Amino acid sequence: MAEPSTASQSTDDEEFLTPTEVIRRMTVAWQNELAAPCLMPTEMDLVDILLDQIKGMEENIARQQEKVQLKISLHRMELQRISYMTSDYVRARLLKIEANPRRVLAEHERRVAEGLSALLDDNELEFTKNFVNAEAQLLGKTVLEKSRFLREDLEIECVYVKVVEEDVGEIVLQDNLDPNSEHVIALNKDEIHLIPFVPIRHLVEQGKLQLL
Amino acid sequence: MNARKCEFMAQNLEIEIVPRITERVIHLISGDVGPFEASIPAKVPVWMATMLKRKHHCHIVCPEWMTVDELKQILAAENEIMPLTQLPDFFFELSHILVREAHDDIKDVDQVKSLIQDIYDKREAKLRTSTLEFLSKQRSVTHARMSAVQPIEIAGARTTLKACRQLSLVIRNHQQTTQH
Repeated sequence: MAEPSTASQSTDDEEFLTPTEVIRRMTVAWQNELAAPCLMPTEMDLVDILLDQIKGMEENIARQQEKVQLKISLHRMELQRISYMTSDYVRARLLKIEANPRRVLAEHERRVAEGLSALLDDNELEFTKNFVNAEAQLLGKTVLEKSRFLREDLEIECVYVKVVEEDVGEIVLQDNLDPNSEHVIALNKDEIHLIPFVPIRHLVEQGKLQLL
Repeated sequence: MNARKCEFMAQNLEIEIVPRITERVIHLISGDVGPFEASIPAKVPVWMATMLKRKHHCHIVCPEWMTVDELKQILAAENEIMPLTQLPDFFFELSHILVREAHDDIKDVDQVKSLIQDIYDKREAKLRTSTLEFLSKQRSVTHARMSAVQPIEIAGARTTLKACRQLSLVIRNHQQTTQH
């Protein structure tokens, strides 16, 4: 099967890299990406070259259908190995980007500004920006509304307190069911209360009450 | 990096085979292989060797270290010194592949298997001891030199270390909350 090599050679001339070298670099980049705790500078160029190679080889294989089976299956298996490696590389990067898109974006811009190698390639950059926007919208719709609940949560939060000072006095609690009625609770020294947090917060801060 | 990916990488190594077929040079993207002539040894990547083996197109010539005598020596060396001994690249991954795919090409395969298992266990015990030591010192030391470690052992150790780090975070959080 002589044609596959001519196909790869034509890519050679454009990239000044032998396919063998591309695969070696891809393997290194893949291994680094898997082992690194953060996103590594992009090597998506290599992925693109390899995708071209895979396409070229697949076309060659399609043309040689009736030839010897062994060669074909060897070529197929190599293609599968290469595409596994490239997809796993892309997958690993996307997982990392999704884990912290904002930091990735900031890091990318810093690197570009400092003239270092880019962290993301164009497609990845677009993906990251879209992801950040989508996430911001999602958070805006769900969490920001929920944050009101969070404040409300603090309102309904109850705490155990011990009264540690004399003459703390009384506090007024609203009745949860009937907004118009109120409960007056006397806080005497050494008593322990389970009580809503917000009304007694200032007392805790003044050191008159001790949270338990 | 998990064990399966370690094995994937090990399959890029070259190994010697004795083909049963005759075939002209094959131009793969990753380089040319062949030509093959029946019963003349040739070097191919491990993945290709196992594939040809499955199709009964070749015998695999095992690496020199994969004999009972050599492995006994390695085990003895492993027992003698405290640090890990230097092993051939992808030692465990390659043995695993070959024992699985080409057990009839390995001499005394059962003995070889159990020796490799012994070596693995021995090294694992060493690694566990040094991991414990590393973790107990982690506040002062953040660096450990382990140049003789095998990829699959790193894959195993990383998950342990990660789990320990998370555990320590939990404990630290707990301490902080209880202090206040």
